[in-house]
Amino acid sequence: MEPDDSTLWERSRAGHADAFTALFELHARAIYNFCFRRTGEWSAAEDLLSLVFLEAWRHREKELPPGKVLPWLYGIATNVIRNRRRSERRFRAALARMPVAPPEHDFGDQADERLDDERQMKEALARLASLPRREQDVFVLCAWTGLSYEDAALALEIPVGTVRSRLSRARQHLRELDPSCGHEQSGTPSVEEALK
Amino acid sequence: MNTESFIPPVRDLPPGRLALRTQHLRSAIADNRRFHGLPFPSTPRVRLVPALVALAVLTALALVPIGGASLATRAIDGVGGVWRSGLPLKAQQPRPYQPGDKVWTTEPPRDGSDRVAITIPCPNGTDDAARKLFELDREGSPINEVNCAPGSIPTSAIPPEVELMKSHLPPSHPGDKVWTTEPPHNGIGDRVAITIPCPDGTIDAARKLAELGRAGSTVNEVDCR
Repeated sequence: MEPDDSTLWERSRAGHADAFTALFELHARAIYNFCFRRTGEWSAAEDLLSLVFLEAWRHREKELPPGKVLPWLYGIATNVIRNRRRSERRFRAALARMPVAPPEHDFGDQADERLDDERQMKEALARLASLPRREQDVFVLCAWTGLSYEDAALALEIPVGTVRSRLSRARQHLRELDPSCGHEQSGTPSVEEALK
Repeated sequence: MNTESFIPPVRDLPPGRLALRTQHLRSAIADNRRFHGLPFPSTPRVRLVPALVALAVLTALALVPIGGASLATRAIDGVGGVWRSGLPLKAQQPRPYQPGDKVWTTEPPRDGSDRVAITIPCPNGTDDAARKLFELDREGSPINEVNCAPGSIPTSAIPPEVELMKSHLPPSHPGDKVWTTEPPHNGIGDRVAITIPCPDGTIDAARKLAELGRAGSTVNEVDCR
């Protein structure tokens, strides 16, 4: 039986690199897609994925409630993306030390789809950019990533009530920006549901 | 496009990239002790502690007086072997007026400390240091020591008298000369010298020269008898 992420995290906190890399493999896809939702670039998302886990390792002394590793990682990702330029500077030396990547695998059959993803994502992000940064954070976590209010609160280190109010304001702002968007859209399945 | 109902695309990492990134992560973790760009796992707050301790030790070294001289002064003594309580030790000064030699103060510093030094380039020899010291003195500067940067004095700038003295006289003893810091004020000739007794060595000559300079004297050389 595979250990759950809380167990892996506890072992990571004790300094076990194997447990941490297992945690990475467990949540890499979720964080990778989250980073794409914030940047609209698959290649940037991949780099950010590494940075998020490097940052998580740096903060491995953090004690987390059971089952809350992924929300916490979303919180780190949110901060890393927010401070993207500064973080990139900070981690540039780290990335430079990493082994040279072997020749790219050919995923040409997905290249067009990925480009299309990026076009759509950038369009959505352009609309989202009109919201205050704090509302963007909550909206992406709750609406696009499917986190509960409680998990989003943990990720952003804010009260649950603040998550609710910010999400409500974000949705209101988006509706004002896009009159075609009605309340009937609230039943749209989240991305996490789509992932399952 | 309806932003609120937009469902962002979901994809895996490109083939092989997860394994590669896992390898990178392992490498970074294994390397963390040698890692300077990324402070694993100690936080900046933790890293500040040794820096603050070092700062406190250095401050203590510089400020705590022991036996009339600060530890910093004593450390300088240990390295240079030429300074005690603001006065040069004649016995420890190897040769007068050599490149890299110090040009000492003529009187105790005004601010109560025992040494306020600067180092300057001396393309014209130790006269540059002496001239600078007098200029500072006239301006009321608390600086009481001007040193020539080692290597900044060309051999040709060493006055021939120094070379002569080096070869004929023991250094820093009565009889040594303390040269002028500037051309004589009267514009006649280039040397107006007096000779005085120097019970404390050449510092007496230096002190006298400074006094004369402040008084506007044309004397530009004081020799020890």
